[in-house]
Amino acid sequence: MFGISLLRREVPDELITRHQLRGRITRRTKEADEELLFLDQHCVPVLPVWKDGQLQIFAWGNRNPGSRLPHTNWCLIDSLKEGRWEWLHPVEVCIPASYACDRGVWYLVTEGMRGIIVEEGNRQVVYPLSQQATHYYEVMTRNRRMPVFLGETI
Amino acid sequence: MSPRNQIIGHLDADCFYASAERVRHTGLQHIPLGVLGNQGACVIAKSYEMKAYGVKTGVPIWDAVKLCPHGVYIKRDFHWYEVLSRMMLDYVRTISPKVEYYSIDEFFFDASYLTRQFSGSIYEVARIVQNDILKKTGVPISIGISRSRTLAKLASDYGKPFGCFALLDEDEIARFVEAIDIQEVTGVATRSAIKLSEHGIRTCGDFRRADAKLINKLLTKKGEALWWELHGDAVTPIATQRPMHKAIARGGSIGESTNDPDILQAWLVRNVERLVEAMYWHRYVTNRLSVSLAYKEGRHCSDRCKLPEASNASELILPVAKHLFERCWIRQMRISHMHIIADDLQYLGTHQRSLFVTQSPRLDTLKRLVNDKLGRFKLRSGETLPLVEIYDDDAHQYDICDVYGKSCF
Ligand SMILES: [Mg+2]
Repeated sequence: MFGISLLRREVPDELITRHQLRGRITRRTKEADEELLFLDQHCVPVLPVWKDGQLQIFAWGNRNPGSRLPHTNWCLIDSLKEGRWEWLHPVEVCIPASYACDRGVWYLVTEGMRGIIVEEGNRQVVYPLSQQATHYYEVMTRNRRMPVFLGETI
Repeated sequence: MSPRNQIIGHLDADCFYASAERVRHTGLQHIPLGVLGNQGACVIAKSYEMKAYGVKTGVPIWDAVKLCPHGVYIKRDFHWYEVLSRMMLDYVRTISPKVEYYSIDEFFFDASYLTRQFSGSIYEVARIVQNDILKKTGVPISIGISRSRTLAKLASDYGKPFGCFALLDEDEIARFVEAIDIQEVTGVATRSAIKLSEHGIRTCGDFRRADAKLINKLLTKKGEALWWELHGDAVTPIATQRPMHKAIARGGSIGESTNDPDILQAWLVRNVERLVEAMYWHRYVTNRLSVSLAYKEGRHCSDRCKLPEASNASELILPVAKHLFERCWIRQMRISHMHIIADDLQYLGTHQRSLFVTQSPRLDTLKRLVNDKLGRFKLRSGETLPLVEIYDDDAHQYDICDVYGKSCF
């Protein structure tokens, strides 16, 4: 159970319409800012990605049994460093986030997380990077892994 | 001014840690917010929105999440809270010559001067102060104004959040405190409350009606002081200065014991930076410096010397500390603990300046200018670079004792 949310005002309307994301708009309290949810439990999991200077939406991980892409939602940063993704020519990208939720615990994210995009035919898939959790993160979420955040340690 | 005419203000930030996070993360407004301790296990502070879900200070994160699943959690950052705390303190010092730094988000101040500085009733002026602080720091605060510290604190509590309450009239004071549980008063612990209740004293009203001599018998002189305070007599003055320290020391364990000269040098510089900071905070200069080393192999070694002039400048203190370190360092042994101690202290400004030496703390001033805005150690000596794990790991707790007046988490 992992997910992120992005302030709704940071996402262009056109993108929301094109990817039918309107149902994912929510707010935590009546007065709070609207957020757009991206959960790994959505039937079609997707993530927002900064690519080629604009915000785009990509499939999150590979769930297609017929595909040769790794069948996972995450890319372990060590496996990337060891070159095990090299054959897929991964491109590093930023996944912007305002908040993230791991095992039910929502926490603040200052900028976002790092990820990679890989291609198969004309299909592009994003895998967020994961690493060993810090002590703080593991106690907070009970997860031994955590995303690789942009410009901060949690 | 006689204590009878004195007006005391108590200023208390509203859910300070949560408010401080909202200053720099504005999107957190109106969101139930929990601030977690260093380990990530416990909620050490929360916003009013989270409190409304029954999340109490000190509860484990997993219980808090059950009560408030859509709340957002964030790690505490004392360095940032301290930046804001000092901004608030600086402001309060412009409106009153007598300010007591009671804790990281609470100050007492002499409010008698307020109506001379601003026009309006004391209540209107307190509102101006409240709005000024919000504008300048982004932190919402509550203010209580009354005849004594104890009453001012009760008054600031009463209006929270963003409360402002002036309690000066004697009849009004009597009516206000009448039904308040005596345990709400700072300084009345559970044990004292039990003793009082054995004599039928449960509320502040009961307490005020009791004989002062009885209170003295039950709760000693301190308890009797509260009795006077609740009657509007400011018997406990605003303490603008704490009693002077005998010595200020910074240091402790250096993590893994080592005899690596670069790492030891880095620790020395770091501890001097912390010492200089602490002296500046307390407005001290020192006449004498000691360095004390403990070795993993079990030996201790220390040395001290008199400074050529009383100082709090790292330009003078660092070379002296290095000299002392060299004199007591046994090279083949691994150091486990290091302390730098300044004693023979004087208040800054009261000391005699030497005609010849005088080191002006130019570097320290520059560091302070930057760090007061960004947080402690953002600008620091390059000699501390080998201490990667200390400065890179945001979760470190090595210098938490340097954050003055924080709650103990
Ligand atoms: Mg407070």
